Amino acid sequence: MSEKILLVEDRPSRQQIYSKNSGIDLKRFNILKNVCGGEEFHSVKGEITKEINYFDKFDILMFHRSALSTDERTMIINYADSNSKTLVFFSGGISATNIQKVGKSQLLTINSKDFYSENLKLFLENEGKEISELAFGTNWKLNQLTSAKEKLTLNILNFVNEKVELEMILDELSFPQWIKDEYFNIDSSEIDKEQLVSINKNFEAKIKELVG
Amino acid sequence: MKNIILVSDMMDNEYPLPDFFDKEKIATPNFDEEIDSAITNYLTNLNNKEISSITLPVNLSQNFLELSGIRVGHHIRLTKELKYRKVPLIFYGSLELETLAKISPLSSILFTPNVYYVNISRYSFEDIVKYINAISLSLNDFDFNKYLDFVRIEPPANYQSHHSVDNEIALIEWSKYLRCDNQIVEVKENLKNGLYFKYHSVLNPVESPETGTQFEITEKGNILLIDDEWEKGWKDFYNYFFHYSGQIWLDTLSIDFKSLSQTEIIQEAKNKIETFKPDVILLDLRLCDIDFEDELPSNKLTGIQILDIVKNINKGIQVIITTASNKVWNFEAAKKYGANGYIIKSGISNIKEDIKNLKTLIEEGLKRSSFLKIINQKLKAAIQCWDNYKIHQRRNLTDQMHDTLWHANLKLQIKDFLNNAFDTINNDEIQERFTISILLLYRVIEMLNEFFIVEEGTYFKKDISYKFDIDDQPVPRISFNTGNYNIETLSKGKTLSTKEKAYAIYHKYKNVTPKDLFKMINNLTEYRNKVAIHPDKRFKEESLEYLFENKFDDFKRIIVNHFNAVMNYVNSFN
Repeated sequence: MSEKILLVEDRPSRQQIYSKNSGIDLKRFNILKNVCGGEEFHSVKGEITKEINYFDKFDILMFHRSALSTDERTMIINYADSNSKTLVFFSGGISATNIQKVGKSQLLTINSKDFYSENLKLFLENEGKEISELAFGTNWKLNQLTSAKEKLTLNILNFVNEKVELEMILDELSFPQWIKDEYFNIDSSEIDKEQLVSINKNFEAKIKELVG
Repeated sequence: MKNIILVSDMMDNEYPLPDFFDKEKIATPNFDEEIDSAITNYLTNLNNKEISSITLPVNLSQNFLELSGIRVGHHIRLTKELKYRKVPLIFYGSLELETLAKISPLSSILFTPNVYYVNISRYSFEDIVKYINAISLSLNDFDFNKYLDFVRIEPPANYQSHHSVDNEIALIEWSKYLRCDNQIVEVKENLKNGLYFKYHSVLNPVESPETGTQFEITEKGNILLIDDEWEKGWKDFYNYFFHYSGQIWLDTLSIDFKSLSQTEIIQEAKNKIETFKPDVILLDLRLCDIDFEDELPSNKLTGIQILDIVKNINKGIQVIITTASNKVWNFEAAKKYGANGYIIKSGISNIKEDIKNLKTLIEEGLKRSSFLKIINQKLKAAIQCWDNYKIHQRRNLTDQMHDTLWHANLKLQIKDFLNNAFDTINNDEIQERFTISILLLYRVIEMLNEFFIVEEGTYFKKDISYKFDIDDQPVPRISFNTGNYNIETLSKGKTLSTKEKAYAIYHKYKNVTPKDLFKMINNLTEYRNKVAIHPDKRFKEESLEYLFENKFDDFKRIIVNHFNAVMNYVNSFN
């Protein structure tokens, strides 16, 4: 399996301690290229200004934010934007987890301690398919479901038509595929307000189950 | 008066809302901007509006668990500068209140005074308008402590312990006191905008509107700062701290602490100490990530290991621990390893007192190191010399038990007495430490005399005589007369004083009578006979304790000479 996730860290001791505390053995993930301190760190960091296409081979780029200068951060963000790369900045100075859109892709900013946690293990075990796994760990489904419920509720509040095209509303609400599959598996191509309210109640029930 | 509603990223610009509301949206933070800074900047801009109520979603972004709306709510309550910080907050969301409470402790704001939650699965925005009209909007004041009783905001996860938080707060408060806080922009921003720091500041209000006056430290010397946060502002703080102290040379261990291992940091510190030769070191205890491990014993902290190295290099270098740790076991470890002062970086204590203590410790440290470093350096050389000296077997055993024991232990005891003499002057908990150390030094001369000179006969029978143990040759009297030392044969029954025995031994082994050394031995003897053995304070103004407090330059010259007398004497056995 090729290394499609790049992790660039300038503080080996921190990685070592946090990984130990979280019980993560980064070496066992073939999907991950872990550049941690030393010459290799400087070399990879240098590629941002020298040969940014170096990063083409990766899908996900994870950097210790403070290891990069403001200019380097801007360059890598622009690169991620143009090349649809998922970007992760972790740092001790980040106080709250935040996911933003960068073009068609996403930028996750996360505190270092939250980054080197069980979340990273889960994220790597699932080959980095879902960035919210890294952001919210085992609560990633809860995040998607609560977000979906919020959107759907706002939509219902403003629902004026008798019926709408199912595809249209799903497109508008941009639900993840698993939510579409599990909750919108209906025979008709149209959906009415009553059905949406019912689905919303199903969301609620599942959320309560997940929250415990 | 405006009733503001904040809309979330999940609502497009066209989303219909009652005209009752002034619609607002917090812009997504720039890629490089902290969310707390973005929120603070936004809320500060609202300060010029007359606001009656704020209606806001539980979350503002596309990811519900970020709960950024709730975060905004806490910012409104905790930002002291906001005129409208106590207005009614009406949160809207699609979950049950109980579910929200389970999702995050931040949701506790929903249970505090003047905060309302509307579940939009059941109620519309029009219902919210009716609700707002129904509640008394005069409720702009309430018992703020009830809000604080309900909420608990945790520090950002990277603050490995509360010490990291205290470190930053101390930096900003101390800098404010000295009016140099404009030099630490990053920390200032963090403390000004960070949600946790706002919470901390409300819980621990610091009464420090006053600022200190600049001062001058008149002592001189090299000061080394070893602090992993040196770049974050501590270097700037100390530069300013010593701004008017013209004889202070401040340097910093300017390494990238975060990228080095503990071993590398300790080695870098050792190199720096050996080249910069500091008189005082301001040393933090936690210097790398490993220091924040819960079960790390105090003696494994990087700061404690560096302290140990410093004291091995020269015990006279004064080390002031500057740490955010208030753990008693760390304090005990620092004391055990020889720290000379301990300042807790807290920021919530009395800042004026903290700064005053820091200044006093530095001044005292510089004063102490000005003689302790010199003495310790010579002491180490003298001990090394004594270690290398191959002591002969004592030939004359006039008193079987006494002589055997002396011979067996002399090497060890000379070292012990020299070390104890130093440790005594270095221990300011001993009231008459300087005088006691002189007695210990004097005893070193006596022990050497007793070993090298055999005394026969008794003082009372007036048949006393002296011979060198090494060859049984008689011991001459060496006395100072008309600018020179004269050597004369001693007639039987005449006694030799301690200093005369020392002169004779020196002459025996070196075949010279150095004036300077003999004068120093003479002065030491006089001090011992006049001041040290008269505790009735008859000679108080000649005591080293008095000179230390009142005539420091005289004190320094005299104490160094007293130590030199004994150390040079010991060095002669090489």
